[in-house]
Amino acid sequence: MVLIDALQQTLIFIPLILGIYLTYQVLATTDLTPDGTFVLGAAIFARLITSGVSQTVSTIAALLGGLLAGFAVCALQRIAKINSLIASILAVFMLYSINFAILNQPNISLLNTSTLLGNLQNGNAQLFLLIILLFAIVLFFGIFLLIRSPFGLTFRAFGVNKKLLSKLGKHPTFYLALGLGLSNMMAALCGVMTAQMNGYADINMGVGTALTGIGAVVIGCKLMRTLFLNSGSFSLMIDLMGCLLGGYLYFLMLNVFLLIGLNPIYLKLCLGLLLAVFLSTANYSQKNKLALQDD
Amino acid sequence: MNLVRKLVIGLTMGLSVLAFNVMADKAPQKTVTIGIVAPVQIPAMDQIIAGFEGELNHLYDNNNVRVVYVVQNAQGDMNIMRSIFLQFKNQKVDMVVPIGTSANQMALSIIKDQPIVTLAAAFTEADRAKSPNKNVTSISDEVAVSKQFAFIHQAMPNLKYLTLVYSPDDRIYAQVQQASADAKKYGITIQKLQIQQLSDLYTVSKRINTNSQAIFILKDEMVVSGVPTLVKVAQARNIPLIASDDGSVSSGAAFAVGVSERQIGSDGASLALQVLNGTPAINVPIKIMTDYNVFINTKAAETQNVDLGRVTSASNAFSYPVIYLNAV
Repeated sequence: MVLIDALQQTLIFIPLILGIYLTYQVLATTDLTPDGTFVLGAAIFARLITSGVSQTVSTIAALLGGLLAGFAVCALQRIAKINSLIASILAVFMLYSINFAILNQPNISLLNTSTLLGNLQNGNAQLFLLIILLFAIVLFFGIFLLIRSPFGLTFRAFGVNKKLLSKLGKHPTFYLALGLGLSNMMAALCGVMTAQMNGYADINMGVGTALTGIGAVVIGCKLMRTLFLNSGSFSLMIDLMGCLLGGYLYFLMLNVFLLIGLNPIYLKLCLGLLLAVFLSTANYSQKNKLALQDD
Repeated sequence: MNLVRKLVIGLTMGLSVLAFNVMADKAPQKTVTIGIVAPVQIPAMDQIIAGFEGELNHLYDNNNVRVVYVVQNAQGDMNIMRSIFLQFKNQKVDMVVPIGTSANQMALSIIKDQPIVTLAAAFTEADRAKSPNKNVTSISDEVAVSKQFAFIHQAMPNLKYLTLVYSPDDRIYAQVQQASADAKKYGITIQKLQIQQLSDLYTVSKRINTNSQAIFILKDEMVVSGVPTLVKVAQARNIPLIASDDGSVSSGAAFAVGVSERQIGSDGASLALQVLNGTPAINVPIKIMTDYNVFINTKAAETQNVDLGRVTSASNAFSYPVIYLNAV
């Protein structure tokens, strides 16, 4: 059951994790904005649906909200020339007020509102798992095809070599805006799904979300690359599978730590230490690679 | 590289084995397991839980059943909270006890077959009637702001200007609006100061208006964590800090009207007992706490220029028992 619980939690977080893969690995920029856009999505959805707007419209509005927030972060980075990390922290800071204004109160309950995932969760457990699994697979291949396309190749060029992009006559800012927009739109989608599953949207629900996502991406990609790839080569499929594995491992660890009765005070410390280990080995192996190339 | 690979495989396998082992650990017979979910680690939670466990052990004393409490703390993280509920669901604990409004909402979404006894949440009979999952009863500790204002007006009839410091907490929001309405009734002007995070409190405390005659705080977890900051302001200005919980009075607020955290837990225990004895949770009436106490810190009241005689006579007028707390 622990394995299934972790799977269920991972599947809900897939949009967020894939979105973070897009910014963190493909565009090679650190964007913590999902902490805010996750709540933004949930907030827009909850406010609209409780005001009588249809589910579809509420969801689309939430996605648009995430997209716009992503564009705004891009503007902070490129127009205001603010460091990407600081820009995203600033964005989270400001989104707090915006989310509050949208919610109009700190917490909107969705328990009495009929939502797609809420209803599915109340019904057959296997069917529910199957549907979110199918959705995750669709999303997975959507992103896979997007990054594989000629358009996606230019995307990747942004992360690897921005100057090349300019020389090819493409506008780097355009790709950054699109990447951040898409990534934050996925975070908003994840917020909508979470709000439906948990039965509420709350102003504080986003705390640590971006780090969870980055953690999953870092752990998963590192693992899959070491297990299946020769050093230095790249496979998009392996990377994306890594994102799924990373997310799954993260939630599995969370569940197992709780199950073995680890004092929850140390839970974040343990997860953080593990993340630090993976982040540092990632750097070391890259350095080794570079050192080898120099030789 | 090989080392990392081995480490990774070992870790994954280890975690899975561990998971299976723990799952295989079946509880002995004649045991009732109660899963308690605290959203954050604060003293109030510990007191609520202590009250709940203490009273339930007391009430269940005559029976030949061992009650096991599994207390899990979500550390303010929604993912952890979800994992906890999923585990309680799968371990088939006999009862789930969430504390607070958001924990209650998540419990209602996840837990289907086990009874839920919620402590300290904004959840009414009307909410239960509308909820798709009705297998729940709850104890609401929402201190009626109107009663607090009636008391404050009686204890400090000359009060015309009051500063209310609050946070964006789900329970607090409605209370702040109620406070504004009540203040108008008694001719009190309210200065509302909201903090977004605890670190704002110091800055905000400097914004308390110079003609403010008292500082008022609700049962507001974030603000309560920063009570010492407000106590300093109150002492410097010789105006009282009026709180809504006993903990703040122990930390140096002059007085408070409210319910004790321990009492919330022990009242919840009586609901839990009915459920354990076989009454379906849906048939156990949702209880709203009305056993108000007046908590007084005499030492703080002195430095904060409070007329204690008036406070105690107001307590008598409303017949609220007075409890003295002097641990500054």
